[in-house]
Formats: sequence, C-alpha cells, structure tokens
Amino acid sequence: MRIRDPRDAAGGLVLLLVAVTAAWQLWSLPMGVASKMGPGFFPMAITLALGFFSLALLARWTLGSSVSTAIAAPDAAHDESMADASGLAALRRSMALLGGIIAFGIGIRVMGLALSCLALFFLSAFASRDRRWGELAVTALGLMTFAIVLFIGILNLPLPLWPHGLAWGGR
Amino acid sequence: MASGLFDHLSLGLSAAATPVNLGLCFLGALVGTLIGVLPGLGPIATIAILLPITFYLDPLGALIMLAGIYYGAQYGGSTTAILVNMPGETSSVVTTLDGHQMARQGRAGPALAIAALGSFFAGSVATLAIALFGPLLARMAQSFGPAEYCALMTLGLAGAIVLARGSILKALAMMALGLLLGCIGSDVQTGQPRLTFGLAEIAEGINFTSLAVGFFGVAEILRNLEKTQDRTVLTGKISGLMPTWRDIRQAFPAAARGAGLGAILGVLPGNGAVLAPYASYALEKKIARDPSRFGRGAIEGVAGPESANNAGAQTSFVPLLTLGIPPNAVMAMMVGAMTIHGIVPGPTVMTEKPTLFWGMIVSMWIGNAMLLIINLPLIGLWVRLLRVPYRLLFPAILMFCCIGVYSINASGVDVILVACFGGLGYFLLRHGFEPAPLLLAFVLGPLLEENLRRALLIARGDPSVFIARPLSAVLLAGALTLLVIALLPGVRRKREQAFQEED
Repeated sequence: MRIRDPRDAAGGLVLLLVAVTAAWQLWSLPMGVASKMGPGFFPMAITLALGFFSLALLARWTLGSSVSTAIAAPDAAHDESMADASGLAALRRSMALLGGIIAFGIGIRVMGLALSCLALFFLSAFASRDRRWGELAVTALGLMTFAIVLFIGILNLPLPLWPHGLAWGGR
Repeated sequence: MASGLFDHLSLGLSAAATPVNLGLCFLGALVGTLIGVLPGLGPIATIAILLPITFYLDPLGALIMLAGIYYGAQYGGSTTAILVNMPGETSSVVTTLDGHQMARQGRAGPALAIAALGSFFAGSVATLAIALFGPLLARMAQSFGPAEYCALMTLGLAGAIVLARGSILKALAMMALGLLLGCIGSDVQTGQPRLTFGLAEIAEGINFTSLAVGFFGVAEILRNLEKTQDRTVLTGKISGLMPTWRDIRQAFPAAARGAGLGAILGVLPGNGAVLAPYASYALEKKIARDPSRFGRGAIEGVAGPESANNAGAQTSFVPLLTLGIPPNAVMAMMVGAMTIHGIVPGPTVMTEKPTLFWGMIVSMWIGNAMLLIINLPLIGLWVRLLRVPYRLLFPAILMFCCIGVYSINASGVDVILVACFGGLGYFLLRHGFEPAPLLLAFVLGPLLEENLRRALLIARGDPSVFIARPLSAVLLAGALTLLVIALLPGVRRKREQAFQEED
C-alpha cells in the first residue's frame, strides 16, 4: 500500500484549479474537428489531460494509507539541516524575494535602473536569515555601479538610468 | 565522406579561429565555469542574462559564446562537486561520490585534473561524432513529414518524463502544464487570442526567458535559502595537480567508455544527456574488478561520469541543429538566441549556413581545450569565490536576472512574470514536481501543435497516419516503451532509489 503523501493533495488541487480556469477561458473558442482543428482543439485536449492527471493525484492521495504525517512526508523539510523550511517561513521568504523582483519590474520604467536595483537588493535581502546592513549596502552600491557601467556604459542597452523628469542622465 | 569531413572541419576551424571568435569562446567558457561554480545560477539563467548582449554580436560569435557557457558550466560544476561535495550543476551530482572522497584523501589535485582531462577528451570524441553523424541525421530529417515530427517530439517528452525525478504522474502533470503554458498567445492559424485573459502583454505568448529564469533561477534560489547550513569549503592548499601514470592508466578506459556512452545518450531527444553520468558510473562500478572501491575515491568514478556528461552536453546540440528540436531547456534557450539572429534551427542550417554550423562545432573543441588550460591554474580563484556568503550572492544573481530579462524586450511585464513563475516553480518544487518536463513541453508545445494539425489535415483527420508511416510508428513505439518500462514495478523501485541517492 502506498503511503499517503500530503504533497499530492496540495499539488493536485492547484493543478486542478489551473485546468478549470483554462477550460473556462477556452470555452468560447471554436474547437473544429480533427481534420481541421480550430484554435481551441489542442489547448482543450491538453487541459483535459491536465485535469485528468490532477484528479489522479488527488485519487492517489485519497486512496493512500494514512500513516501519521511525520512518516508520510519524506520531505526535505523534516531533515535537521533544513530546519527553516516550514511553510510559513517559506512564504515569508517568497514574499520578500518575489516582491523585490516585482518592484524591479514596475520600477525600472518609473524610477530607472539605479533605484530599481537598490530596491530589488534590499527587498530580497529580507528573504535571507541573517542580514548585515553594512556589507549589504556596500555590495548593493558596488554591483549597482558595475551594472550601470556594464549595461549602459559599455553595452549601451536602452535602459533608463534615473527617474523620469530628471534632466541629468537618462536616455 | 572522409575528405568531406576534413573539409567541413577545416571550414569550421577557419571560422572559429578568428581573434574575435576565439575571444568570445574564451569569455563563454570562463563565464560558464564561473556560474558552474556558483550555486543557484545555472546555464539557463545565465544565457537569459546574456541574450541581450548577443544582439551586438554576429550570429556565429553569439552561438560560440553561449555554447561555451553551457559546457563551461558542466565543467565548473565538477570543481565544486570535488572540493565542496556540492554539485554546482545537476550534471556533476555523481562526481561528488568519488571526487569528494579523493579530495578528502588529499588527492583533490588529481581528481580535478582527471575531470578536466576526461572532459577535454570526451569533448574531442563528441566533436568528431557530431561531424560524422550530424550530416547523416540532417539528411534523414529532410524526409521527415509532420507525422514524424509529432512522433519525435512525443518521444522527447516521454524521455523527459521518465528522466524527471520523483513520481511519474507528477512529471506527466508538469508536461501537460508546460504544453498549456505554451498555448498562451495568438493561435498560429487564425490569430485568435488564447488563454491571454485579455492582457495585451502576453498576446504574443509568454516569453520563454521569463519562464526559464522563474523556474530555474528564482525557484532554485528560494530552495537554496531553506538550507541553514553554510557550505564548508575544503581548506588547505591543493598541491600536486598532476595525476600519476597509474591514475591515468586507470582513468583512461573509463573516460573512453564514458565519452562513448555520453555521446550516444546526448543525441536522444528528451535530454538523454542528464542520464549520461549515472549510466557511466553504473557501468564502471559493474565492470570494475573491485566494486567496493567506488564511493571511497575510485578515480574511474570521476573520469567516467565527467567524460560522459561533457560528451552528452556537446552531442545534445545534434537534435537542435539537425532536427530543429531542442532536447533540453538549455538548447531551448539556444533556439531563442538563434531566432534573435533570424536563424531557424533545423536540417537546413547545415547546408545553408555551413560556416555557422561547422564553426560552432569546432569552437566547442577549442573551448574544451581552453577550459583545460585556463581552469587548472585558476582553481584557487574558484575556491575563493565559493567563500562569498550566499546572503550576498543571491541578491546579486537576482539583479542580473532581472536586468537580463528586462533588456530582451524592454518589458517590465516580463520581469513581473519572472516573479510569478518563480513563485509557482517554488510551490511545485516543494510539492515534489520537477520543472524539467514543463520547460521542454513549453518549448515543444507550439511545434507539436502545428505539426499535429498539419499531419491530421493531410490525413483528413485519420489518426492512423501516425502508425501507418513506419518511422513515426517506430518513434511512437519507443515513447510508449519508455513510459511502460518506467511504470513496471521493479524498474520503478530502482528508479526511485537511484533518484534518492542523488539527494
């Protein structure tokens, strides 16, 4: 008998959600027939497959023997060397890191490369366990300068350097 | 045939040996080694970062540099595997077993040197193999119809599923998700938007770089941040790089077998190259007179897998250049690089752009020689680099990823998509889903759909066309066999064991 793995349930649920959303989006597209497929045919077939696989995952979870979860989850999280892998900590780290990337993505047009780099650096640093602000500031400024020299100075990529409306610098 | 081979190679040599291209080859190999040494930054993310730079190069120079990054990373990954017991790249996981043991016994020097020499030797073998068999495959590919292409891609996807670690069901689900993500954007034939949720930014489809950097860069960093332990770098000076004659005598047959095995596996669609080091290690252990030496610093256990992974990395260019089908995610990035320069990968590259094709092949051989010369003296530098704490390294990696992704289309949305896919990728990784089948499926999806539609249009909707054409039937049978074998109870248990040893 297979041991029940809680990761099957969560993964299966999310994928099922994706499949349902996709099916809803694809509903209005013409399907066509096999000899003359419409735009909806292939994606809908894939969506059905994804739905099937996610249901199979959920079924596997339901039918598995429910041993206590401590044994059932051979997850790296239970390893001692990975003590900081609990769900909440992972979520906090993800928020910081992904927040930093999003800040860069929104910021690059608005506030330019220099400030976006700093924003990314300091926001994502919250994803790390130990932060030493001194060395972080030095590294951030150093790498920012390096990136500006390399990408704008040498490679001449069309990146905005400073916030809009500032007369000095910018392209 | 033989004279043709030399003509081709000398044509390639004259194209690759210009000062600029030699410089780019050097740069690629060096950057590749650097990122191979650094954890959390693989060749996929690096190529994404450097893609905008290649706008300014000619097509051959760009491909030479990007190829250098790929095999350089394979090589750099083995340095950390030996010295730190931590594979810099997945390809060098096996090298940790005996390589690190050798280092502990004070034989880090010979281990590193054998890894380098083996890689160079394997690179030479693979270069010759590509030169010999590439044209044959390309000629065969010209007789391929849409049905054959469909079958070939199915085989590739089946391979990726079988080779993914963890549950097969999860790998299948990842493949489906990848195909679905590949459908996003306008339909090729009617131009109707599909799955775009009305967003103009993804009307042309999702940018592959965003997906790759999200899944392989960001998700990987989040995974690394879970570990509380810091890396322990083997301290003490590495003395005596040169292996003894006895080492070489022991290692050479293993390297030769590894190179052959790797070269064959690398050609297979569906990323056979990842299998190469495992297969080589298993083979060496099986034929060794005293298998108990393995895991305790057997030099064959370094020479074989290292040669195999390098040969496999190189021959994995074959499906891309001859069939136009990328066998793995790195090759998919190469498709991106080629598209930027208006090259359509496929059988015609070899005949219409012979300088490009042969120049790139020969540059790989030159690059491998460079790796040998530049890296053995630089090992001290790489070791020092490993001491840079991760808390400073990962924001730096993120910064370069973001700049790289933004520069490709000057699109902030692409950067935001990186965050989305990073989050999704991390969730999936934590729940035991391997991203490799997803990425390959994403790339192959549009090609698969196009060929499927065409094949069925020609056959008037009769699906038996896939079985009626012999080549397509063989390929599909191969795909089916792979999946069935992987699901057999005995094989399944063994497969799970093999992947567990990796962790």
